[in-house]
Amino acid sequence: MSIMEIVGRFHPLLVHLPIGILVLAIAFEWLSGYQRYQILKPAITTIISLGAITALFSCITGYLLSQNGEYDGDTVSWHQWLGISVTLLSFLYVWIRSKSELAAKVFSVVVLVLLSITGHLGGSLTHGEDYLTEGLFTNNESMNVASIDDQTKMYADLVQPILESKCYTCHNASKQKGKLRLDAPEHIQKGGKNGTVLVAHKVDESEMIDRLLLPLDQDEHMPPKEKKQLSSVEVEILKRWIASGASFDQTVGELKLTNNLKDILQSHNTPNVSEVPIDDVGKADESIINKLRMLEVMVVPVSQESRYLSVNLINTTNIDSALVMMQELKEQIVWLNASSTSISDVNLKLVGALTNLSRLHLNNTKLSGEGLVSLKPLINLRYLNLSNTNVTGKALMSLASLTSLTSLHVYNTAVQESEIDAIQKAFLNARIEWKNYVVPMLPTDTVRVMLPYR
Amino acid sequence: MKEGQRQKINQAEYLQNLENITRRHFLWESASGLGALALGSLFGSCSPLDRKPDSFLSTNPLAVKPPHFIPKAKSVIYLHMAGAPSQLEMFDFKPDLQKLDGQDCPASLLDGKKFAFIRGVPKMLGPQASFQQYGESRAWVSEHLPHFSTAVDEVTFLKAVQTDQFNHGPAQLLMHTGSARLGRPSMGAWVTYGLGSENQNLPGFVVLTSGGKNPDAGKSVWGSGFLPSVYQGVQCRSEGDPVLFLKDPKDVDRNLRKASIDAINEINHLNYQKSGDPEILSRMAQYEMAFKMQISVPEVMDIHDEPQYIHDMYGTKPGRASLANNILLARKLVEKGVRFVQVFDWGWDSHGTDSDLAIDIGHINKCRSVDKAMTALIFDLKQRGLLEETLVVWGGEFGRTPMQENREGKKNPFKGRDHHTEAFTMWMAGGGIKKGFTHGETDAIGYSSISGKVTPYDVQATILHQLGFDHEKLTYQFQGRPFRLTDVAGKVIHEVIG
Ligand code: HEC
Repeated sequence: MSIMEIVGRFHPLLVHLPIGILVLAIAFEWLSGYQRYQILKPAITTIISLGAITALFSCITGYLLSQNGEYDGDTVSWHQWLGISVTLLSFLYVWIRSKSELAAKVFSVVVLVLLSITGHLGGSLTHGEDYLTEGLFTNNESMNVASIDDQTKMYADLVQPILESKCYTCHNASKQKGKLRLDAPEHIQKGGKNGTVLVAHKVDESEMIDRLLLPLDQDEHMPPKEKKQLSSVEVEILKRWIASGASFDQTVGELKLTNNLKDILQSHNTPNVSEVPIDDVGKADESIINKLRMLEVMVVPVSQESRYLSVNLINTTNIDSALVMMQELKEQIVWLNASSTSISDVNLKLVGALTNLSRLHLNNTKLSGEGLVSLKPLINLRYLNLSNTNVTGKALMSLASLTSLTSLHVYNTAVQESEIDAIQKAFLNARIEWKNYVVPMLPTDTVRVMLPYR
Repeated sequence: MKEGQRQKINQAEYLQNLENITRRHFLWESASGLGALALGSLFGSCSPLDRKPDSFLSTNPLAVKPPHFIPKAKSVIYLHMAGAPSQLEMFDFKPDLQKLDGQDCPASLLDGKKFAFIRGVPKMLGPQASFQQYGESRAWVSEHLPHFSTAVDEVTFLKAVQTDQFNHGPAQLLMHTGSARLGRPSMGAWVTYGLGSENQNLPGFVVLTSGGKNPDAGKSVWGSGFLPSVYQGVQCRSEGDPVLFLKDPKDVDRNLRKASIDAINEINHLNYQKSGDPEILSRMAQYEMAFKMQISVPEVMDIHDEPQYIHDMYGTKPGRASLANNILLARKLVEKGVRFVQVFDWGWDSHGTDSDLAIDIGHINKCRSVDKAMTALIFDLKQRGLLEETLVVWGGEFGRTPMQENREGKKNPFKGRDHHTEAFTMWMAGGGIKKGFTHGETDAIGYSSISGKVTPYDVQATILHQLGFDHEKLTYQFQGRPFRLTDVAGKVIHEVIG
């Protein structure tokens, strides 16, 4: 790195000086109009001069920084020229002040406006174009199982949104870190300062993927560790894209990846059994736990490190009382297994009050689904097993507000095949397991080989 | 009362109790024990104080207990093909081996190696099956597993498992107890010791066997070793009485039975208060459980009530002892809250010494006997929403050689392969394991691993990990040191965890 480059790197530090100083000067300018603040007046010219000088230094360091080739495009040149204008105008401002106070007041507004725009553009350069607004409009919900079908475009619908949200800030037209742009197919193919970053069909040889998989604390890891990281699903999708030839126009149907991608989304989106809330919870009341144990209810922390509880009702003959007692542990109970019990639709009211539940087994029971609507308050529910019950599609739809549901099991219920589409639409994030898998009878299943095969 | 305080009092009580252990107690214990097992538990019971206070939460040794961290899997079905299936005719496709078929085995593969039966210079034996790639994961599967080829996208293959035991008994022990020698608790025993049982009316650890023979290593592969004996596997049968010696004696009704068990346990309890010996608790728990099991086990072990389409799926016929029936039972048991089901099937030892043990005859029949049922198991667990919390493991105790066996230097009457320790295939599915994934690779002829080598300890560590255990911390104090399943080895195979 040359000395010039190092000087350039002081730009982000220096820019804050003219911004602060000039804003202060402008504030004094307007305040000093009031009787009370008149004593500020003599300081103003000195402050503006100071601001102008630091602005000059910012311009110089900024210019040096832009020379490293990582910044390019409109934003940079606007930022550059506006910066220079602000500097010149501040010097002009000092001169105008010595002429007319009124003119100075008007002029100060012009400086303030230009200063703000310059500062904003500079911010966009370092933090990304949508830095300000990204919190407002997150469009990252595009990925769920239901949104994938044969027509989904591999690049445009799946890959590009990932690059856009995780890489564009540093690898786009205005900011080309590592001399790499990722914001259009031709740039992606061209690669960065070390050549190509992607080899079609060869995930292992693609620098892009390599960098994602590096340990977080290595400098080459992408995105750099202080930035938002890719989820494992996103990494998987980029891998599949490259493995399937890194095509920019094919659909997932053409690539024969539809089911595979659905599975990836599910397997990563579906919570394993392990979903429990992150926040801590108070200690459960031991005496209630002991009372429940007297009813042969299994109550146990989900792990030795956790105060959240898992409950299994399989051995109890007194589900009603158990559910009543469990209300006092409603903060702690996150998993409830009532499969193969005599639990009834009426009981579901009390189940619905256990609002921290994330996993609920109601499979292998006599439930008709009438009471299902009582589960509506379970907004944290991720896994719901209703297989081998008499639950109907209609009853199920009454739970459509449970958007956190990622795994829904209705195998061998009264739910009709014709209703599945509507149900999937209602539970967009859920993987719905409903069909009977068949393992067909093959002639070889029952025939014994007696002589050497072939 | 504060926890610490309580513990202190317990300790004082315990010391008091130690004084009560008399010579007479010793004789009583020795006499009631059965050989090594009892002696083991006697030693085990000498130092309950060193044990972590939470290993026995209550007086019920089978009460549910939390794992170290939040688990991905809640139960395990372990399908063990005893005798060792041939990876080369099932999953590990080696076209180059075909080119060498019938040629002398190069000396480099034999130097310094020991085989169970191969002597001198054997011939190479090409794959006795054709292979194709299946699923999105493009996994290779042989023509002898037409059903399983449809399930490969649910499965992770471990293609380079390596063991160091080339005889069945020790190798099976190593696979299940973490030691090639007798005396260690089996994996299922460790798991029940660590987690207790979700369903107090069923054993936490059930063993099902088929193929006409128990594993070579005997019942030690599901024994409890030095752990309290409540944790040993309960062997159930799929025809006749599910559990032997469980029925009430003639003319004894259930009430009388209950009364007598209560009386016996009252005495046992007094005894326990005096001696503090956890083995007494074990015995009490076993009496209680046996009583409950009289009703619940025959119920769950009956596959008559499964609908016809399920029988069609698994290829099961109620009332017969078969591997398929056992696999269906395993699903039923897990569904009812059993933690660990170990299924053993004998008959995979395809040396080529007779037609049942020929790689191109009997071995194919064995493949057919497991293919449909193991495939059905995966899909049935999946449709019931249980696959994500049930870990299915499939494998043998070792693999089979790429060379044709020449027992005592002479040609065997049929095509066969000898025991092979360097590299063989296992698979896992569900329970938080990756779908459609392969870990490890063998060389061009399937002789040894070239990447992703794993050992039985690694497999054990991974199984425990999925259940929420740090395999290095699930320990039991015995003979003055903490023991664990993986002894001093084992690394969790993080590559296969989804
Ligand atoms: C915070 C800014 C930032 C973000 C966000 C970012 N990168 Fe980078 N990237 C850099 C910097 C700085 C370099 C050059 C330094 C280096 O080589 O490590 C670089 C270099 C690279 C290179 C190497 C180019 C070459 O030829 O040397 C690749 C490939 C890359 N990034 C990929 C990505 C991908 C893919 C993403 C999105 C997932 C991403 N980056 C997100 C800052 C970023």
